[in-house]
Amino acid sequence: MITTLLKHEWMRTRGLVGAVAAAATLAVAVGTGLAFTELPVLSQLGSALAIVVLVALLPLAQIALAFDFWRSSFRRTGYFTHSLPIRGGTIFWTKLLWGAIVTVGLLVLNVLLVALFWAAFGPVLDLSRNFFADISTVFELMPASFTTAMILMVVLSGFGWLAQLYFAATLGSGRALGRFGIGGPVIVYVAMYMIVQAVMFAGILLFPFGLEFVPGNGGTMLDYNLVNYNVLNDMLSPEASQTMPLGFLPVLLVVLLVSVIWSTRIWNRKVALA
Amino acid sequence: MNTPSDQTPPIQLSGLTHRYGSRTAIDSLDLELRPGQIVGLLGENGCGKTTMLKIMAGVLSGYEGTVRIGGHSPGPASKAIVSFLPDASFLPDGARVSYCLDLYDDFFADFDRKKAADLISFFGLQQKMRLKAMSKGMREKVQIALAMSRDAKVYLLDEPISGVDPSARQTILDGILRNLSEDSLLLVATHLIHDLEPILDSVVMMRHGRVILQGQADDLRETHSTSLDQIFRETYR
Repeated sequence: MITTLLKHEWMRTRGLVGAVAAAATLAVAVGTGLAFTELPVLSQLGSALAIVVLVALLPLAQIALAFDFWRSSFRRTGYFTHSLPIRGGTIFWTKLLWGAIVTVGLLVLNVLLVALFWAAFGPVLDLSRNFFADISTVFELMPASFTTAMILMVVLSGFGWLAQLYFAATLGSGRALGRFGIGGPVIVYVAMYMIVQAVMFAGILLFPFGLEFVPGNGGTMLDYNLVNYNVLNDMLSPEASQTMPLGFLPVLLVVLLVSVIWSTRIWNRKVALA
Repeated sequence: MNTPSDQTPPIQLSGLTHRYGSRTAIDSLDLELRPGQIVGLLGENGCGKTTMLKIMAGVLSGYEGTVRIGGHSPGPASKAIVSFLPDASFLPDGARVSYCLDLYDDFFADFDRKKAADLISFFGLQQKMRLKAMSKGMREKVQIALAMSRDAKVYLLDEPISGVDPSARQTILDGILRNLSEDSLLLVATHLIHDLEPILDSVVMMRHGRVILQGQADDLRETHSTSLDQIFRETYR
């Protein structure tokens, strides 16, 4: 049944995903083309266009996916979704899985578009035109554990943000907030954002550890040490800190778990279509 | 654990209450309906008909009381035996009719594609047509063709002929009855009693979230010596 659900997720969203991918590719191609001209204003405009699209592609795509999730789950077509003889939690998880698959696909496209743009932009940074060669060099200069952790964090935060958006759509379409239409999910998301920021700060206070970056040895450019980290001292210090706090990570994990467990519970027992 | 038997009434509601904020939409409602009949769920706008159907279809939670559909609480097991037609266009606007048939075929084990194709053709529609290119009446016909092509134990139709011109209503009613199994329960919410009266076996009249009159159509006509339409008008005057 999950395969069937995934098939229909694909069929429903392929137009949206295709349009996002095509528009991004076209914009970056045009931006790269303009950047290659090296004409004063035109090449800067091209670079700006490409950079904006490359930065915004994944967040905008996830917002578009969340909007589709909301429409197909809690608006008119939600009547069909919730009439299926399938446990609500299974439908929710399949939609989330599909969103994650699309996100990974667009992440790959994003990397390829960066590589395309790099052909024009790399020399501006005194680097080569080959993005993959440059990024390999950077990876070689970093400790492997750090690189792996960074990649995992990018993937986890991408999935976590999608889960938060889907949770906002779900809770914001319940009995209390459903009457506000799209306003319900927006209210939940804004409230959740503020709560998460406060809890992350508390997490950094309560979990006083961080990564201190130091010059590397043994062939790496950078290395890191796990150190005690006091955010209050850091805030009062006039010097910029070289330490990355870690206390927000368990908070992000807890937020992710709460989002998916609460959403599953609503999908199983608390659906209330207006 | 009790397992539903063939004798289990398809619909059993006991003490059903549902509130929207301070407004009570369904008020301690008790109702039991047996299979093999067409029941008209009648009442003014806002009397609780749609809320009751949504609860039975499993798309509205937060109620009090007991709801049993074929012996099951609303959930995957009840949805497997209930065919629900909401009072909304619930199919993707951009979809072709053929894709809608695929959707039902993929998700409902009791869906009969041949019946659906027959009904689509009976309504004068083509499978290659897109829903967004159709009139409201045509879309309603597609949705009815899909809902009525399931071999369900319970059909819940919410205002299936409202918003459709009078000439198309009879065609839609004929389509609804075309493949209806004799042992199924068809519950139709409507305020267009005149159009539905000829096909109704019994009626449930609601007001302010309560059942105010229930009975076999023939018995009610005999007792009141008038049509259901007239009884309805007098009841809600």
